[in-house]
Amino acid sequence: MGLVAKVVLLVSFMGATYVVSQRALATWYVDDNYPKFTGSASGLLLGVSRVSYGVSPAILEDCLSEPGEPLTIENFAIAHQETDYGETYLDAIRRKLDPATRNGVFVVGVNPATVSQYLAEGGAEPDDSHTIVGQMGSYTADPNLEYIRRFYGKALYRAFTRTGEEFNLRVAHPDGWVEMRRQIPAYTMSDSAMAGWRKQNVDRMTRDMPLAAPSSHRLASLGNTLDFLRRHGRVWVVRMPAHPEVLALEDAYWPDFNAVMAELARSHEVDYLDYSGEEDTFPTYDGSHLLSESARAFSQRLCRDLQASSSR
Amino acid sequence: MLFNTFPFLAYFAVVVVGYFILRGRLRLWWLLGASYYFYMSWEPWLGILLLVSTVVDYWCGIGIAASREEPVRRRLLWTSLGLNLGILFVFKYLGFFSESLYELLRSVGAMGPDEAPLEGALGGVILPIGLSFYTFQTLSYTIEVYRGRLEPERDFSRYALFVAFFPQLVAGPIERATRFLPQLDRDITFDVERVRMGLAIMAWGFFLKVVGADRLGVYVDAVYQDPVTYAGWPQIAAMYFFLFQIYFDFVGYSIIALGAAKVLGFDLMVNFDRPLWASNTGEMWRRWHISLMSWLRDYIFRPLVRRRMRPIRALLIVFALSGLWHGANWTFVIWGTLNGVVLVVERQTGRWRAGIRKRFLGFVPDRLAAFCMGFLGVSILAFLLILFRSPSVGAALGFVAQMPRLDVFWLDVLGDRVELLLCLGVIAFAQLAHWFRPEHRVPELVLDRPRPVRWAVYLGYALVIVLFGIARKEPFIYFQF
Repeated sequence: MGLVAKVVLLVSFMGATYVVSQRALATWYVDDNYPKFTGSASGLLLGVSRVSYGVSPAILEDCLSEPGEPLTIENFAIAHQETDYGETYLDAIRRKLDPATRNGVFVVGVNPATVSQYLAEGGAEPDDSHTIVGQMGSYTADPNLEYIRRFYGKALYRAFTRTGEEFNLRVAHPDGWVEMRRQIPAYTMSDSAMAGWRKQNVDRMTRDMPLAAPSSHRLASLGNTLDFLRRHGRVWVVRMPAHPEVLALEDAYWPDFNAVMAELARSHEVDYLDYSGEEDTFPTYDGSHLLSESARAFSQRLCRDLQASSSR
Repeated sequence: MLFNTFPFLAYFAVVVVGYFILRGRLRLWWLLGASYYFYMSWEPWLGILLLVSTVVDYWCGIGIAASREEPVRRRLLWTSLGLNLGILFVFKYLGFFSESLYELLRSVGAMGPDEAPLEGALGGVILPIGLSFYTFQTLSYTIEVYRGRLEPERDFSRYALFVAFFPQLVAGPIERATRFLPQLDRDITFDVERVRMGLAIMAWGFFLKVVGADRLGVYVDAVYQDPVTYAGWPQIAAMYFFLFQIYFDFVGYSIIALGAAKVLGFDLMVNFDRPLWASNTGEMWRRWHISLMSWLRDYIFRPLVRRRMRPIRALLIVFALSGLWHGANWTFVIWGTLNGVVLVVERQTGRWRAGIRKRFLGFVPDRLAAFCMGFLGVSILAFLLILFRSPSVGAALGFVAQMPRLDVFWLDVLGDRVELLLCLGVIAFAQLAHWFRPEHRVPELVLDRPRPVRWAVYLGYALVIVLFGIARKEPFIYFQF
C-alpha cells in the first residue's frame, strides 16, 4: 500500500473515531452550556448566570402550560460577558425561538452587568462576536457537533469513561437549567466555603465595577429584545435575588437601576418583577447564584407571580 | 493558522501536492507564496512588514559584499540592524520601556499620576507573530555577509524563502543562511522514506502538543488562576507541570516544523536535544532552544568576550537579553538574569562541589549523582519559570508565598484524578521515549519495527490523539515571542 493511501486510511480512521466520540459525548455531558444549544423552544429564560442557575424551565412549564397547549421552555441564559443584552444575543434569541411561537413565555433577567459595557470600549457599540452565542452558527441542532467542535475543552475519552460526574456539584439539565447542588457523594459545600466564594465574588465585583459603565447600546438592545419577544408571547423583566453585599455594590454602581428598568418595562408594556432583596428567602451560594433548593422554590414563586401578572 | 488545527493540515497537504508537481522556479515561487499566505493568515498586513524587512536585508547584503570601503559596508550593516531592531523595538518593546520610564519618573515625582505613558498613546499595537524569530534570522544573515563568511544571496526569491519558509517562520528554529540556502540547490524528489519520516516526526510533535502540553496547561492554568485555593502541593505540581508544558509545547512546535520541512526535502536545525535529561544546568541550556542559544553565543557572547569582557559578565548579559527576547516584561528579564546567575554559580563552584563529592559522597554511583544533579537543575529551572508564567513580579511573589502551605498532601486540582494521572503518564511516557532517542528521532523507535507492530502503533496513536488530546485550539506558547 502506498504512503498516500496509508495516510488517507489513518486520517479516515481518526476522523471516524472523532465523529463517533463526539456523538457519544453528546449523549452524556459536554459542559454546562451545551444543552442550551440543542433545541428550539416556545419559551425562553434570558439573562446571565443568575438566571441560568436560578430558574428551572421544567417548573415553569408544569405551572404555566395550558391544557392542550404545552409550553417548551428553555433556559438560554449563560453568563455575564457571554449573554449581556446586545444585537448578538438578540440575533441568537431570534434563531433559538421556535418561529411558530405565538403565545410563548419569556423571562428577561436583568441586573446592572447585563446592560453595562467596559469603559475600554470607549462608548462604541459593544462587540460580542467573540462570545459563545456570537460564534455559534446553530442553536438548535441535536446533537450539536458544532458546539462540541468549538467549545469542548477536554478530551473525548470522557464520552466513554464518563468520569468526573461524582466531583461535579453542578448538574446541567436538558432544558438549560444549571442546578448547583450543596451536597454530592464526594463533597459537601460548607458554610465557610460559601462565605469564601461570596468574598471572592464581592472582591471581583469591587475590582471590575469601576472599569464598567451603564451602556446606552445595551439598554437599546434590551428594548429591542422586549419588542421582539412581545410579538411572540408574554414577557416579564425580572431581577433575581442577590446577597445584600452584592446589592450594595450594584446600588452604588447604578443607584436608580430599578427605576430605569421599571421605566423601560413600562415603556415596552411589560411587567417588571424585582426580587433582588429576597436573598433571605432564596439563599445563594456565592452572593449571586441560587442554590438548587432556592432555585426550585424561586421558580415556583416566579410562576405564581407570572400567573398573577397575566391575570391582571 | 495553527499547526495543531485541521486548516493547517489541509493547507499543508495542498502545499505538498503543489510542491511535488511543480519544478524549478515555479516550485520556489509556490513555496514562497505558500509561506506568505501562511503568515498573512494571521493578519494580512504582517506580510508587508515581512516583505520590507526582507527587501532591505537583501539589498544590504548585496551592498555589503559589493563594497570594499569599510564605512559604506558598516553603514549598510547598521541600516539592516537598525531597521530590524527598530521594528522589533517599536512593536515589542516600546510600550514596555515607556511604561517602565513612566513608573520611574512617577516614583521620583517628575511625572504626575494623570500623565499617561506612551503605551496608552500607542493604543494596543499588536506584536506581529514570529517577529523575534525572523528578525534574529535576518540579522544573522547580514552579520555573516559583513564578516565575509557568507556570500550574499543574489536571487531575491531564494533569499525571501529563507526568511519566510513557513515551517519555521513563526516560532523557529532560528535558521542560519549558511545551512538553509545551499539546500535550495538540491534536486528534491518525492522520496517515500523521507516523506514518511517527516510525517512521523510531525506526528510525534502533535502528540507532545495536543496530548501533553495542552493537558498540562489545564492543570497549570487552574492553579495559577487561583493559587490560594490550590496552595501547597498543587502549586509544586503545577511548577513542574509548567516546565513540561512549555517543553512539550515548544518541542512539539519545533519538531512539527522539522518534520514538515523534511517532507518538503529540507533539513532544519535541531532545536532541542533532551534538555531535561541533562546532568547540569549548563548542559541543559546547551540542549534547550539550541537555535536561540547558539545565536546569542555567536553574536553576543563571543563578541563581548573578544572585547575583553569577563565571561561571567558576558554570560549574565546574554541571559538577561535572552529573557528580554522572550517578552517585554520585567518577569522575563529577571527570569533570564536569574538563570544566568544559576549558571555562573554552577560554573564557579564546580571544583568545590567535586571536592565535596569526592570527600563525603564518593560511594554514590556516577550515574545516580548525575541524575540527582540533573533533577536539581530541572527543579531550579521549574522554580524560576514561575516568573515566566506569572503576569507580573508581584504575582510571582504572591504565588511563591503560598507554596509553603504543605500540611495536607493533595494534588487533585479540579477534582479530577484521571486527568492528573494522565498528566503524570504523558510526562513519563515522553521522557522515556526521549531517554531512548532525541526528540526528533523518536519515530525511529517505531519505523524500523515489523509491519504489525508499526500498524498497531499507528492505530494506537490515532486513537490516543483523538480520545486523549485536548480538543481546544490552544496556540503554541512561543508564538507570543
